[in-house]
Amino acid sequence: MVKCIQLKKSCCGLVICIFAALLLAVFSGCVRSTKAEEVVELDFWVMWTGREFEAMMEIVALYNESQDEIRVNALSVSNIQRKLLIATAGNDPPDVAMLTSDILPQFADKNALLSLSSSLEQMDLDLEAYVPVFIELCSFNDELYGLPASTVSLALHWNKRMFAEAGLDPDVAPRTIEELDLFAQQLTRKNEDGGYATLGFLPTDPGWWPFAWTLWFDGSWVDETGAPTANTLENIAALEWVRSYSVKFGVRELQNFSSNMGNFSSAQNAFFSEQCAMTLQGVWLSNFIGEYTPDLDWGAAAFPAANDATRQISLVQCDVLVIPRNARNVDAAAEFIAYLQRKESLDYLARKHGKFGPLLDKEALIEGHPNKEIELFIDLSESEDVRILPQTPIWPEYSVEIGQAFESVWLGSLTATEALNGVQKKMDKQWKDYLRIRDAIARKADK
Amino acid sequence: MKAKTRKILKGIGFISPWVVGLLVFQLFPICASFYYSFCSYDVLNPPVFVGLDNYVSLAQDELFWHSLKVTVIYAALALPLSLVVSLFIAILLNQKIKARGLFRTIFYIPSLVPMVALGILWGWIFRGDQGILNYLLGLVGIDGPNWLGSTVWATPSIVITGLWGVGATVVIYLAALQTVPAELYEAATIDGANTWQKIIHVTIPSISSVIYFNLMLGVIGCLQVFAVPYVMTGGGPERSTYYYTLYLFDNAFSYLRMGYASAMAMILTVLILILTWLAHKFSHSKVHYTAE
Repeated sequence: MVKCIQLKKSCCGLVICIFAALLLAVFSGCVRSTKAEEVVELDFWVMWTGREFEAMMEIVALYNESQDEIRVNALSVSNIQRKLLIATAGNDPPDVAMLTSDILPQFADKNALLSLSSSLEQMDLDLEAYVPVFIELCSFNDELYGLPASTVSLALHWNKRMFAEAGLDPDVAPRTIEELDLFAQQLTRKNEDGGYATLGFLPTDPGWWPFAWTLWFDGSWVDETGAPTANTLENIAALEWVRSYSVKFGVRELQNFSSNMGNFSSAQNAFFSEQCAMTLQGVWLSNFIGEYTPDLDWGAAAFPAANDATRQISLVQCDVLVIPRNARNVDAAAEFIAYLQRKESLDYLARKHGKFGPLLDKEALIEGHPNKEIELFIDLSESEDVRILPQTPIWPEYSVEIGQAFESVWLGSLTATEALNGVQKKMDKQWKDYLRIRDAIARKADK
Repeated sequence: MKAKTRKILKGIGFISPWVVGLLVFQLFPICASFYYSFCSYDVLNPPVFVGLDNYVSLAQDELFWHSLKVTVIYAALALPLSLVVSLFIAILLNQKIKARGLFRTIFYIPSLVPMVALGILWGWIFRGDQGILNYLLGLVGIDGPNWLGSTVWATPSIVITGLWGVGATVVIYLAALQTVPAELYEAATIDGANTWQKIIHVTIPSISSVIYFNLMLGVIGCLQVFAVPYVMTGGGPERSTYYYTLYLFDNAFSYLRMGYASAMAMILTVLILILTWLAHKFSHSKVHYTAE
């Protein structure tokens, strides 16, 4: 009997302990440590993996060694924008994080990022030293919300061996859209079974920028106020050009060809495996070529503009360092970002990533750079024809709708005009809703 | 303290972890989602009450109706097929054959494969000319379609993929089949019933309550299908597999319209409740419970 009572008591004790532990586990995440520490622990979320992350880790290690007041803990985070959103909403964001420049306006608009405009003096940074377009990419509504960590521009890459085999000059890239189409036709070969063995050019490869083609047709997705302009004549012309490829080469045949292409980051990549002779890609491609097909004979040139062979149009983007709202150590975060913005840090990252940096002074960077075409990418980013994606908070949804329109036109379900009229109608409504809600929030804040 | 009160308190103590879990992680989010469905809420800023705006916008949103339509089409294909296939497998696995346990294990194992892995694996199988399915079809002279690249075949591909996960349903059916009294089969045999007649007139009525249970779980599962299409097609091509939950997810986490997504979640909840009620109403007289 006594044993039974003891057993019951110990059972009750066990239940209470488990329950208390559960409550502690649940609520411990909600409470921040207030313990004063000499060394500031800085959480830094990095969007990169592999060699790109390793390069950042090396700089972080150098920073940690260079002083003993701040210790940076860098973490590679996949799908960073969603995780940063949840962490910021949950009031527990990292001190420093990375975002792509196309997402920055959405986060800045939702008041999820701290403005760096007033911290520049403390950070000892001069914005005049940067290529202007990258500061524009880090800004929203004339406020600076971040600083570039890594910068890219896009260019046409071509396979010189395949050019020579097709009777083309291996050292000359197409200079006009018409030439590109002609070269693409000449470079295309069929198998005995009727499928394509090689293609000259495929507008759906790699499919990351379905909204970008319009830039080479002088199109734009928004007007000066940020309102959508999806169905302009230039945008329609760009999509009609895209459609011309699936008409010329056949949707089903191209789908079969695409489904046999390997992942971008693999030796089976269509460009690396010489299945595709030309591709629009970013400055990073040389790194991957070096890794998977070091013997590939390739070149890079500005992607041809539709209306003028002399223009050097390119889309530029960057990965941005930001301080999320409610970050714990804002001053230390600003100090660390300032360290990352030093020329030595940016140049080191650029070399390791096969890219170029956001600063104007690139003389030293070019010398011995691992990317043989780095000067071209630098020129493209500093060209007066440089293009960026719309700095509008509705861009995430807008870009998805453009992607859908692209797919419908590519498959031939809709004409370019029909598809872009649909996008315009949908985004007009979203833009009006956005303005209405923004005003409602502003009114509430005023009260 | 009275012994009875002490007993009640102890009971509450024992179930309190579950109760707290239910209140904090389920009931509160459901109530919060209900409130947010009447707000413009982007997660990062305080919600702004907008009344029925989200529901009115949803009624006018073509993509909302499209996602609902393709989800219903998916459910109409997947639900009957999974119920019939899993029952068929369960009946086969209930036969007294050699290595029955091994066969049961083999059929159950695929349901343990995580959804994301399942999506990637079947994505390879359905891959255009180099996919194993089209290769096998080619051996018998059939030119297989581009399964995941075709608006016609993408949903059937996801339905076929879903059949890989019927192992759990098969186990439930198996348990039910073993409760069917053997004398019913004996009586049917004496009456001259063949195998098919035994299934129709003995097996199915005897396990009707379990079929009803699986039907309800299936309805809920089909309306909430997410992981496999998210991995295999991302909603494409041309949004032919852009199911309800994919649109809900995009609204919540890509477009930061949590209020709108909450309204979608509420509508889905009501839809499931209505379907459950309808199923209960129309099948009540046809479902046989052994205990009754």
